Amino acid sequence: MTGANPEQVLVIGGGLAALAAAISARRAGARVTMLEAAPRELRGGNTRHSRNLRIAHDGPTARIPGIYREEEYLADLAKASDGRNDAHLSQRFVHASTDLPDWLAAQGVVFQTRGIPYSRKTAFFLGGGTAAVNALYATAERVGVRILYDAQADGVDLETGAAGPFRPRATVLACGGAQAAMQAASPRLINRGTPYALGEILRAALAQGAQAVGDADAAHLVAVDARSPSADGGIVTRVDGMEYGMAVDARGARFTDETAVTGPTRYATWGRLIAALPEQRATLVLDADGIDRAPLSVFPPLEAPTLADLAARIGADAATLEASAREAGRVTRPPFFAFPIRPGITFTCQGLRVDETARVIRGDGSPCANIFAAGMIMAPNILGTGYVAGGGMTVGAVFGRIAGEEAACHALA
Amino acid sequence: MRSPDAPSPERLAPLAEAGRVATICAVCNYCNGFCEAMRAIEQRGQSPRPSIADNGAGKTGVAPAFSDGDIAYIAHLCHNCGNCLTSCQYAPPHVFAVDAPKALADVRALSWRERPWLALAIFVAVMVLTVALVPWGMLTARHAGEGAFYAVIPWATMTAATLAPFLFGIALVGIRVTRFWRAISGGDDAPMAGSAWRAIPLAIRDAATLRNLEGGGIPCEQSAARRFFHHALAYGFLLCFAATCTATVYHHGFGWLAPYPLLSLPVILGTVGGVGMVIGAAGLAGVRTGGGAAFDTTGDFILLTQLFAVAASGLALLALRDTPAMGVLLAVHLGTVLGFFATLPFGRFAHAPYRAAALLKAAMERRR
Repeated sequence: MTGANPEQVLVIGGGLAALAAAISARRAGARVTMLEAAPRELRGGNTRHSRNLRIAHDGPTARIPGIYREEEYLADLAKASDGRNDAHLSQRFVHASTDLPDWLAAQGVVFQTRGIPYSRKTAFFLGGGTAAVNALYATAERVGVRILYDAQADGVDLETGAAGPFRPRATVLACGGAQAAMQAASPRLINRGTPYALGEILRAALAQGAQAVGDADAAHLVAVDARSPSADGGIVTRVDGMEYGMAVDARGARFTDETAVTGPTRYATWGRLIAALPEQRATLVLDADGIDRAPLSVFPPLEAPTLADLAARIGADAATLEASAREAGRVTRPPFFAFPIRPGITFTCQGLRVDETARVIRGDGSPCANIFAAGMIMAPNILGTGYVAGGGMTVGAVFGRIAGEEAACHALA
Repeated sequence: MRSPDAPSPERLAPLAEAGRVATICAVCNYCNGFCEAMRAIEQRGQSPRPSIADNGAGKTGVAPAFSDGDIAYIAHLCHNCGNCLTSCQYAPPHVFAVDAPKALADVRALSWRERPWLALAIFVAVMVLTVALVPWGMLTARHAGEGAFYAVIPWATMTAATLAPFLFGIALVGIRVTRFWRAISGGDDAPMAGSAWRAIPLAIRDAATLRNLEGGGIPCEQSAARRFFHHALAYGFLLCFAATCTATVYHHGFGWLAPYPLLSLPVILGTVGGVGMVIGAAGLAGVRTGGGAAFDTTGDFILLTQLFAVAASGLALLALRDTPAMGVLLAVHLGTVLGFFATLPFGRFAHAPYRAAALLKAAMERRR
């Protein structure tokens, strides 16, 4: 390993997509350098907060029970993206998902098969995304990928692939979305994901004429506790259990039927609803019975003996809050509890259009010769502005593999 | 002497921190496939819990998700493989600063207090008494044949001196582990129903194999070495105990007096066991030193030192039993054994019954 720029393939990013690209390119014979913006302890992008991958399979496997056929996967993607996904690319993607668990296992990732909720659509990382990230970094190091931490790339030249001091033959853009930038622009939002997803590379590529997919203003939002850290809160900051009490806005008024928001998409539904409120904040109010039914929270609830006292604590109007409680009918027995809520961004929904070799497409439809993209920076090709559980991770791994192999192929040609 | 199990202000900080960490772990739950401790955290985080606590002053609040008994149970289930820390998205430098292995080790540490000075004092006392009471010529003479040991220190003295602290220690540990069992059963007073008997083989397997050190399938860098050395130490200890039992049968059943021939059962069991203990204790200390554990392991080193001293002095006694050094070595071995027995009920040797109780409870929960 030399101090000069030895790499033939440069991978910008440090999450699952970047790791899959770096390992694939290295295994294909290229010299690879990976630029992870985070320090070593916080490496892995949003992957470190993830847990599962959505995988198509025609029958039960050692890692996933049941059946989830490619057609059903495609239908789920079309539904989640409102039909705005790239149908041809999605087909390639869904098919490529089938051998992903085997490939990841061969790279050292361990899957969990017991003690998880039944899921015929997703495979679970044992120990979660951080464990998978650790395994993949260990493999990347072992096969000889040069990994640089605290290495934030500010831009990339779409004509040459050059980035900062690096002059590779091919460059893979796998540095995620722009959730940290969106939070900086709207401080009322909380970033659940990595604070290193600043989106500079995305902006630089778009400024040079790369074709955009998705929507610059869209993001995957969930309802999170307002006391969450400003970034990296991950899964434990989500607020749940609204159906056992009531959700009120800043004044203390309800804004939807809490019992109608159910199922696995309820977190995202609440995130959208609260982001749409004028103050972009809400409060979950529970009574003495509701607090027993609601799931455990890492944050202690605010508490008051009467609704009027609780209104004072959360800055709401007492009469409005009492009227809301009468209307909901589920908040009656003191003491009363409150969890303050904000919208939390998981990732943003604007990306770069790519072709089936993961090459970045310009505005005129021509592919860049040596610029590839993988992961959330191109996920809107597959997900539109929607989301399916485990889908983001699979986009990262599938297109990371493709991008790594194609980049190595280009670099070694 | 206050029992280390009694509540006190210094207990509260580790329990509160472990409660905070366990709550985050229960909500996240990514690690639930690693071990029994994480499975227990998951189970308690999901089960309906009485949330409203009345503190007696008419004021109410939300009760913590984990009782002190829950935390003690989870702490004694943790084998400290470290997988949950290296896999943790909330580990330092994250602001949540989740370090479950350390938080749980700090809680475990509340269950024991090493008394190295007591052990040392007993050792010195045995040496001084031996030198003072046994005529010098007798002590340094070469003894051979049946009853050679008892020529130096009479059988009755030796038996009474070891049996008294041993029985006292077993009784005290028994009381403390019973109290621990009650605390982790949380008033559930019908635990020894059918499920318990069926759970016993599972618990024995988990204890005997250290299954929870496997981290659910992601082996940590040191878990294989730690397992090997712990097995060497634990099974070595059991072999030495078996040697003692065999020798007791020889003595009382057949009237054969120690020392026994090199190829006799007590000597073979004791030699293999002693070598295992020496290797295990030294190896575990080495793994600990190299591992850079983030928490205080002084107590571990004290116990390992004691076990090493007991085994090494026993082996030395065996090797030199036909020489004039036998008398002094006998006193050295007796002193280390007595010191070990006297401090056994307070120190972390008691982790074995605590962990066995926690594993039994966990096996019962799995079977439910």
